[in-house]
Amino acid sequence: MATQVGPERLHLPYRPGGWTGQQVIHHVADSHLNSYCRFRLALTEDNPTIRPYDESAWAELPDVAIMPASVSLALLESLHSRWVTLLHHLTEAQWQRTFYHPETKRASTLDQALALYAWHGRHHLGHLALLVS
Amino acid sequence: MLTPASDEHLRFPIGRPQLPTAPLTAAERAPYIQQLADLPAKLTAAAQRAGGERLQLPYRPGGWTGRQVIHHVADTHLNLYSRFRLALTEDNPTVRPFDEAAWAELPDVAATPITVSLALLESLHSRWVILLQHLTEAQWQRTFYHPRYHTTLTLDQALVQYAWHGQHHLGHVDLLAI
Repeated sequence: MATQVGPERLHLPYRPGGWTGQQVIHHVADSHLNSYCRFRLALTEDNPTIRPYDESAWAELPDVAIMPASVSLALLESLHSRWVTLLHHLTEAQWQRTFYHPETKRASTLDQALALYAWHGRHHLGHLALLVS
Repeated sequence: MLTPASDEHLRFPIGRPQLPTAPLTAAERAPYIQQLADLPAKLTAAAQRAGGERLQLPYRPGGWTGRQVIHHVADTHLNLYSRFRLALTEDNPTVRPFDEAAWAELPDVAATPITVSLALLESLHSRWVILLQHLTEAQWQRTFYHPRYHTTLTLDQALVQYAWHGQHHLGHVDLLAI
């Protein structure tokens, strides 16, 4: 999708006042590395409290404006490879393990987290599709 | 029977980290940033020297296999990168420890080729190093709190600690490459 958008249009916001395509892609990498860690925490601790982060502030850190989107796309390729292999090996019991999100004050099963994070990826893919001219 | 002292050179092939007690200068920081920049390529080279079969062996009796070490470095550095971002966007945030021994036993660690985590480190360290190269002096003195060790670290101290962490595990893979 980033290739379809092209490097110049990745510097445009996908909506007025929104993130640029480049910020969206770096955000997906940052977000999914946290999501991957939340799965691992839920599999190794009992209903762990996970660590939220300030996604708006993270997207303003200086590496986001400087790094080519290709770096985060490569990061996602590697990260999702490990994540998907992990998911393929989970037992039914493990899918019902939970973590607690202190901001939303909700516990999620890994089944629920799977649906949420799969949506999250497609959600931001939809933003990039808006930038395809 | 190994005593803690007798395998210290295997557990800590490059010794233990020495954290700075005063702010670093840009010149003092540079070699640590360079160690983080070079780590993915050095780890890849060491893994190639060790070879696929030896990476299935523990680097010391009872220790992780070379494969577990490499996947562990990727998992840890994902967390360390996030700690830098947390410290830069919140005031003295409490970071999230994780059970590294349990993470290294999750099924993807045995099932995923090490090339995946080596590539992950290459991408992650690219972003991390660019971030580090753009920090102001004031940002290097920002802190985070580690609840397990009850310590507050400046980013200068975290840089030294985390550069050490990469070299430390590189030393383990090197033990398998001899």
